[in-house]
Amino acid sequence: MYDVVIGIEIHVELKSKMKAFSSSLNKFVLEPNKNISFYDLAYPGCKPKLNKEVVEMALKASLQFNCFINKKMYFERKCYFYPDLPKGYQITQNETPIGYNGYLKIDEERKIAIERIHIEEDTAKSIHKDDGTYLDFNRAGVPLIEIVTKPVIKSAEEAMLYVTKVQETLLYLGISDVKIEEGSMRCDVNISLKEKDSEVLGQKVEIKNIGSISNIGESINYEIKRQTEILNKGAKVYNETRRYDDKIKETILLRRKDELTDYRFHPEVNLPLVILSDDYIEKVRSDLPIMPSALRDKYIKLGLNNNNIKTIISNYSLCCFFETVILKTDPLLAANLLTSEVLTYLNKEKREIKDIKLTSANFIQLIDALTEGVISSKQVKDVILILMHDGGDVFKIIDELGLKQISDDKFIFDIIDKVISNNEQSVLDYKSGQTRAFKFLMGQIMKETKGQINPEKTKELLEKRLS
Amino acid sequence: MIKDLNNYITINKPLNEKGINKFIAVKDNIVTKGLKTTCFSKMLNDFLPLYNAPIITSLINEGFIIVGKTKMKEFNIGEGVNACADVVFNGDVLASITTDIGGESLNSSLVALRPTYGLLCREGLISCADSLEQIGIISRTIKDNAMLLQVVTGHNYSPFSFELKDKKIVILGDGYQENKLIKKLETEGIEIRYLSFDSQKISLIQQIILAVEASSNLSKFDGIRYGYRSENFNDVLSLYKNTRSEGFGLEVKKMILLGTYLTKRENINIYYKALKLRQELVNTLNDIFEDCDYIFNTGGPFLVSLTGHPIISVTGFQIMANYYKEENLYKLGYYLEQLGSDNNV
Repeated sequence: MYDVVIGIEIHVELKSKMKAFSSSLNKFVLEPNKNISFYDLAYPGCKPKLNKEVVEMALKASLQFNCFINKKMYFERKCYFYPDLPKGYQITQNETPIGYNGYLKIDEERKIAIERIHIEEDTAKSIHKDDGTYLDFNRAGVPLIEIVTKPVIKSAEEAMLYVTKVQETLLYLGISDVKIEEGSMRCDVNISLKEKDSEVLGQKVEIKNIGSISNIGESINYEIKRQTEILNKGAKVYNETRRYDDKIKETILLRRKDELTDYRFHPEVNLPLVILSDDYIEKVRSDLPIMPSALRDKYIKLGLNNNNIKTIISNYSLCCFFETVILKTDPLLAANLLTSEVLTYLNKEKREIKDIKLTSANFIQLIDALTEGVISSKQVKDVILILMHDGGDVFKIIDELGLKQISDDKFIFDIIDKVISNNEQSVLDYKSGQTRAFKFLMGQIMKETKGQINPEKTKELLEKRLS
Repeated sequence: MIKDLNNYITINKPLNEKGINKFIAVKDNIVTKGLKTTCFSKMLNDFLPLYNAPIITSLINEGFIIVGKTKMKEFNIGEGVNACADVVFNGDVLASITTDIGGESLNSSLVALRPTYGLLCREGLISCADSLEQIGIISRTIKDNAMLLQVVTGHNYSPFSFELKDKKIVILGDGYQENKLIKKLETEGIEIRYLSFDSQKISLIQQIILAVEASSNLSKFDGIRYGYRSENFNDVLSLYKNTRSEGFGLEVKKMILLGTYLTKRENINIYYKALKLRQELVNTLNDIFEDCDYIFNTGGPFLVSLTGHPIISVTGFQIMANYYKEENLYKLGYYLEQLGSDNNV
């Protein structure tokens, strides 16, 4: 009955070393008001200073989202009064967003048009409690980029896919942790309904405080239902800001927006005009890191299975680690090990791969030891646990644990002969066609040596003996 | 030692008079650690800065001592009250660090330099209008002034050797007609041109820019994080309203209201027009300085807060030079000083 028209605004915290316009370190500190500078508090006399790294990160995003770049850009003051806005204005970009008119490919057929990407500073955090509202200025001045789509998204599914792709892209650009639960990525959805195939847009409603990607889909579907009911009755949809309540699965009215708010934009005179030269833009463009879609193609060509590809790409730091070892050792074995033993350990310990003692070097050593038959795949599991926990040299560990796999022909034949002589019935069974007997004999041999002989070699030699 | 206490908002601890050559006063809109900085406003009545403006730090590091913070117009808005000049004139201090928006710090009986915009670090200056206001130095002699500028910039501006011949001078405004020095220069064959600007228009441009910038520069004063906070409030809105109504004086409130009005979406084009005219003025002055060394302002409009050129007042003259040519201003200033004060307008 109605066409759904959706636009999404995403605020992304950039993980630059310092904040956008002040010299505070841009790091997350739990204890309130422990990471603040005079500027973050809008102390009298403080002037903003533009952080070059922030511009570079915003440029990377703009280029990756295929935007036109505003080579001459300036900053403006967006004025309003609220306790979490210390200066009484936010420094942002209004007339000259760093990127505009871009797009993001979300699958083979669909591109989402990007209206603009601009740089701004974050506000402080308001924490509402029973006895009042508390202000934490740790977040004040944190650099943000705001990514705004054109109103071209048509469904909950498309919206969720878009946000997922944005997350993946920004993660792989290395400019943000994009964790919705932690607040380093915040999505606001604007949604309206219009008569089917009509050119006239309906009244849009803004949905804020969406806590996860699935909540994006849920809130959109709820709004479609709510607005449809209103329009079917012949009533009007109001210009509102609503929030999504995950417990009752509904959007709740926050405030009515009666008229367009006038933020009295005017230039931030303390920041000069920023000019991005063609050379600089090209240099940043040529240094853009490889994106998931290209990585996917690369891994498919290498022969990785789809599950492993999905797992590795969805874990950015794991993927970065994988990239450091991929050319130097067997990629399939590396992928298997990373997505099983390593990932399990990381999840259990709640750590990132950069925080554990496993290094690219000893990981490569381990895989090489496996491919050369020095240790068995079962033994790899023991060794990697030690590597992740304590680090160290693979061969030293193998020696210390006495794990070195035996591949010596004579030694193996001795064991084989011993087992054969103790299991004559099994030998006869095998020779009369019962293949199960072979497995039994193998099992006995492995038991004799506590799994320390090279199984492939053993199989080969056992077959020789039995023929 | 201090001639008139009324010139000060805050006096530093008692000082040994022997150090008078190192005494300075600072206008009360530049932050000084441990010394109240109030901008002569109820809003910052008891505000004690936790850091020094960098310019103050360089002076303290060279052994200068702040005698006190001088009186000013609230947030530098309104007609000029220049206690900064008086304390130098009175001999309380060697020099004072002042700020200037419309030429109010240029005093006819002293040496006052308003340097090129951008020469001095403005961090720590509590400005009502960042693009117009600049930090300046008031002293009794050129030598003292240049010495202080050296302390804060690291550049050496002496010696002041100066040759009058071959200099080209532009005279701005009508006040030159009775001036003996100008007549003398003309007879010595110095090339002099006369120019005029539309004073009213320039004044209007400055007023518009000042109002717009003040309306947002002063919005941080809300009683939430520091400064004056009203006792009459029961919610956020009344906290803001009452704090700002009670904390600001009338002139400041009028300026904020004007600026708020001008920055409304439907009015902002006026401000952008003013910016355009400002740029045209900059271009005009740049053209003039292509072919002249000094502009003497004898009663003409005050241009440099719009263009950022340096200006010095010495022996009653206000003289401008091209960007970063403070050295040339000191040279001519020293020459005029030596000629004696019978050349005053």
